[in-house]
Amino acid sequence: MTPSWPTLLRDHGPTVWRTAYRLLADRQDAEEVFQETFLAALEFSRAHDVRHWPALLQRLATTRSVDRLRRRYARRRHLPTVPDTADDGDTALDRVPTASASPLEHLQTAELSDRLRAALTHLPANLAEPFCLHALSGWSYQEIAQHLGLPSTSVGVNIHRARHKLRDLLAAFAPDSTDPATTRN
Amino acid sequence: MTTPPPQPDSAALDRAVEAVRNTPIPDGPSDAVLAQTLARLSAAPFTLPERRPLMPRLLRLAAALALIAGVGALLYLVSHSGTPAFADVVKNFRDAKTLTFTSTVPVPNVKEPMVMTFFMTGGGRTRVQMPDGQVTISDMPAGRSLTIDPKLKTAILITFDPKGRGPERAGAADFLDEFKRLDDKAAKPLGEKVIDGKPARGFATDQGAMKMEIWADKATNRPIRMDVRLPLYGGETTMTMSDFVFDAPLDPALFDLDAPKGYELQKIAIDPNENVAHAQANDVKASEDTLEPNVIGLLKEYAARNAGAFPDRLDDWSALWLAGNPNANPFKGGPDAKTPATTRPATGPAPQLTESDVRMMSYAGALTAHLLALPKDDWAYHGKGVKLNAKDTIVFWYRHPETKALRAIRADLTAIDVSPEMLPKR
Repeated sequence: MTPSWPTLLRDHGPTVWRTAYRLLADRQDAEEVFQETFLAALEFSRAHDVRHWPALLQRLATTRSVDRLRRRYARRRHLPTVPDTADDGDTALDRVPTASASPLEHLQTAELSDRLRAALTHLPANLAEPFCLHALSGWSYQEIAQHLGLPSTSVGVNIHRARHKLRDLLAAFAPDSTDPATTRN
Repeated sequence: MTTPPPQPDSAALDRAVEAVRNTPIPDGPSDAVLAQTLARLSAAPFTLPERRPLMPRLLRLAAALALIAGVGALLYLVSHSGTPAFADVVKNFRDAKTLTFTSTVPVPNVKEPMVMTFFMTGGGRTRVQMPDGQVTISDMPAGRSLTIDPKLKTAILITFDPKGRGPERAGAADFLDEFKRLDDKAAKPLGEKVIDGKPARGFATDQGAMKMEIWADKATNRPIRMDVRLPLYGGETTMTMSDFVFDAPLDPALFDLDAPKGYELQKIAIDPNENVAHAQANDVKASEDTLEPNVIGLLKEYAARNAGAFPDRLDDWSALWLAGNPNANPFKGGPDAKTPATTRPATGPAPQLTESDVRMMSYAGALTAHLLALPKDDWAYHGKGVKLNAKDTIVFWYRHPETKALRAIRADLTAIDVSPEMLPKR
């Protein structure tokens, strides 16, 4: 039985929100992706039987969040400086956990997060999606294979390739390195 | 010569992944975004296979309360305005022992219009039912209103002071009595046309921004259709009253105020004393019109639900109700939430309207009707971004329709006489 939209929003909206915000770390962007996700699910459900709503919604939230990151970092590459602030004025430093880490550790964590977000924008979609679902959303290879319609071995290969590329990109994004987007052939 | 890049480091990637995974995540999207998402999903020209109503059920219930309040206030205003002049039509209302009609209101961004059928009988009893089976029965003299939802097997009994002037009075108005008070002194004829296959004569009445057209059967002078323009959900719509039936025998059981057996009964008692005391203490003009108490009541209720903030506007009913309502927003824990809403189980008893919900929507409905009755330039709302008790801040003003005096309501919810130079710029 297909649930109603209010029910889907109530039951799966929180997961969609967490998926989007975790990747974007920006309220306005996350809110736009939140809405895009449900509208995309609506479009999808018009043409297909949806067998697993939470999986569909989390996939849509992930892919749209990465798309949004691509646009964000593409803009930054064309701007001399882009302040690293969320919509509420928080800096990257403000957005990291405050448990017991030192300010320096906070800053390093924030930089790492931003470098990974930037690196993700250089991955092709077929690598970025399984990587995010596995590494950030905690899906198993088997779950990803089931919902993406791929053999488990292909999922493993794609995630391995994604990690390899991300390692390179993170190293290239490290301080004193230049943006790989401008150094690649 | 450039520095060679560092060697790829799996540990760095793992740390970066961990950092992103641990990103602090605030409560869900804003209420406005959530409401807009729901509205866009509901407005999409697509029906899910089980064809359930797409509008959130509680929102429908809340909107129905507001609409009923709005209709009550509208009839009250029209019947006291001295504008319509269609004596023969009015006579039919005055002679009526019972009256039924259908009210249809297209809701912006929602696929299906709100359709309500009104059954009225003498003695201030009214039954309003919706196509999905939801029914609201009001007995004004008894100060009771019962809303039952057959799908959820729930019933809400609202009790109030029948002599009070609160919004609940508009919500449970003696509708038939209000119809009977329609004035026949003046009329602006609209000519004739055929409606529902019957030759009809039209009459128009304007009061402030409110425009009502009434079309009556040329042969019997009984009304066939009434159209009232309304602001609703931040937009504008036209409420159409049609299918008028006079003096049909109505079974008294239709107006039974006992909840059906097996229904989960929720009782809400509206205490009018609080608002009356506030009005008396703050010089609120709680006379025949209830504009000032309604504005103050709405602002007070909204601020209490939203950390002291006032609403962006007064006529967007869904935003008014959704904001700060834990039943409406799955991302936010209510004040009594033991766990974050994001981890709250989806199963369990259906959320219920609260006393605050009922007050809020009754204020909103009645207020909408009152504002509609004022010329557009004769009132303004300035509460967006303002918080309760902000010093010397006017959040609402209007020109009294009879005395023409300017009145203002401040952020501390006191009402004062003002001069034009004291008013905020639009």
